[in-house]
Amino acid sequence: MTSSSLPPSIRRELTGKKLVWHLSWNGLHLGLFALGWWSQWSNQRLAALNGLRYSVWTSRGAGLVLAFDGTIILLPMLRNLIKLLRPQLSWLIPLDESIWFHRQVAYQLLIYAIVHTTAHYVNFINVERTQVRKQTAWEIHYTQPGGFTGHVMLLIMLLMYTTAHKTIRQRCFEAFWYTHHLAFFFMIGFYTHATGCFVRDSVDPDYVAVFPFYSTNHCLGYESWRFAIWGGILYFSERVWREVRSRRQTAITNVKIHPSGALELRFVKPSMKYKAGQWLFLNCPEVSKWQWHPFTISSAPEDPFISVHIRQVGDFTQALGARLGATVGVSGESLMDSEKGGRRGDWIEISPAMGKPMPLLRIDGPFGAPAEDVFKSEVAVLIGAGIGVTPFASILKHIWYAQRAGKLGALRRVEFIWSCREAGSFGWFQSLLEEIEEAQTDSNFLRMSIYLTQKMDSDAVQNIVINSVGQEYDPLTLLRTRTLFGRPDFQQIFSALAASINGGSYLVGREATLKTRLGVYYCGPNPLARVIQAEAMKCKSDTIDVKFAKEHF
Amino acid sequence: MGRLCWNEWGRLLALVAGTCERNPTYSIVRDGVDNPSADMTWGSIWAIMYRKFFWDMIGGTLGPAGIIPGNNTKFFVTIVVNLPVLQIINLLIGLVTLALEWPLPLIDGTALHRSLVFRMAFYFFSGFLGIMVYQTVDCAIYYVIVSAVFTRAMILGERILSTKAVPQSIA
Repeated sequence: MTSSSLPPSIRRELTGKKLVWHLSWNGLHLGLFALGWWSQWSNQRLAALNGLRYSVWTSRGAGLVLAFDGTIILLPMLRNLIKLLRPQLSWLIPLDESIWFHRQVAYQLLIYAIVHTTAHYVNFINVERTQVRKQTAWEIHYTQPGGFTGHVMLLIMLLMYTTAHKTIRQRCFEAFWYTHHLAFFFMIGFYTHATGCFVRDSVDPDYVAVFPFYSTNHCLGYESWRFAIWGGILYFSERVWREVRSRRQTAITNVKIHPSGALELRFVKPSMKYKAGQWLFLNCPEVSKWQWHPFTISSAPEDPFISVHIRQVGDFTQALGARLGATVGVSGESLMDSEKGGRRGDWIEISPAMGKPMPLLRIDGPFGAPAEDVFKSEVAVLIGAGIGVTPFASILKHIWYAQRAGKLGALRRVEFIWSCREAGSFGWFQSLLEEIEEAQTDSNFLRMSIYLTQKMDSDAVQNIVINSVGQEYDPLTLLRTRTLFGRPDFQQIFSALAASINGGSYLVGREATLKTRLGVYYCGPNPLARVIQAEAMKCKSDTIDVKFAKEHF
Repeated sequence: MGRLCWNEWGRLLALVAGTCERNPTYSIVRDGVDNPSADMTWGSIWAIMYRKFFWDMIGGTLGPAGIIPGNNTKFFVTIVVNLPVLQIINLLIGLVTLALEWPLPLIDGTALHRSLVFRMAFYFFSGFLGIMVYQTVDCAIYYVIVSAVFTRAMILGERILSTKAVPQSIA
């Protein structure tokens, strides 16, 4: 089969960096498998077990792989630890891809669980047939610790893997999230899987009275729980820490509702320090005790409060809005203030419904965001697609504060590109852009380009044209910046950018001998990320250094 | 947030219970199709090579070469050990599950493919047969879970459409 006949999703996995990854990742697993196989095969003390031949070598090989994968499967889920390590380790491992890595481990876990289990079915039936030990197959399967925990883990895997599947997870996140907590029992099964002392050179298991209740004189397993358990301890500590931190004092100061129906929640949490572009988990016990929802922080670190903008589109966000007395109905046409020349009016401030006090809020975070180092580059290109624009609210505000304070670092120019299907649902973001646009004194510092990608009929186009002519503000976004229609052509954007940087017209007074650092920050869907990364990297030359970073949801 | 679509979940569970198709790449596992573990087809193939009636310990005695089945289980031992009848039926069940849930283009959209009642009964029956054979005991448990999930889907009034049908909410 030639590579061109493969579907693109598979071809992508088999090219470039991905191919190197798959080869080394699978190579590592096969290597461990071989090591486990060899250690069983060559161990004279296990000669009796080796009478089972291939099946026991296979099960032990796969067992070593599973010990390894079970140890590392929790590591990418250590959000707080990863946040701490990010600056030190980002050059070595792509820490932003933690969920992707978690899945890679899970796939290997599944493959080797199949191998391991299949081999053991053969092992146990042969133990019974040869009577190398005076046991029956069903006893080993369902009454001994190894067999029992194994079957329980398989059942848990069945439930966890199926509910984690894209179709289920996207339709009903709770089903995935709650079921995934079966991992607790899975890990207990995993750590105790070998306590039955199946791998031994004695006739009977060599149990002792003190922890870990078997003696290593005769129990010759990998003792893998000794290192595997650290993953579990770390993760458990992480969860406890998250609980503790989220319960620290948090108070809602303001609730505002914007013309588009977006709810702005402002609160203070003195214990929380964050950087622009980060996000947090929010929980409101009165609305739902167990649900934690991620939101991007929309305030800048300089603000005296922390704010999140919440679009009331789901069950949880609507229930939260109702509890705060900020239902979509409250905002309406009345917010469009005609006296201000057709510009967008203000928000309405909400007081809690029926004289109840503000509800308790729990916040876990902040997390994520590679856009923290925006000030290290001279030219920052911020690209948001659709809802992916939200982290840039905070970043733009942050840049604006820095600009006022004259602490821009290396940053000389900012290009902000926002592409979305229809701008209407991001009204709150536009108001923020208005503020920033109004505040610009140097017209060259920040350039905004807003692209509308939705298809429009000729009437709508006519309408826009008529309303645009002679108006100070764009009729759609109400910004001075004119809206552009169609998809952004990133090839053209980046080549023009590179040309104007090299031509010297873009950065006035740039030292020709120095390399210009171009930082590209993207947030949005993955397929577009690949396009932008490829185009941005083409700018790389003797004079321009390019860095690309993307943010996930 | 969302509401769990029980028949979609049931489909995934059934594919695990029924299949042995190994996916050569990660992307297929991720995009879709299934995550096999100890499953009916895979188990049945091994069960033809290593034949064992699971419940032979009832009335059986432990001899020098494993359990010697008692007289009370003679019939089952015959159709599992002497002739692998149940294994072959289980293998077929696994393949039918696969054809039903993947689904096979031939079956896609037929009354059989859309029937929740059939699934409920068929998967329960599969569980009953699966538990007879040493290698497919776990699958049997999975099948009973699958049957329960489809029962729940039926109670909630869910419907299974042809994979080619456009969901009504979009149409």
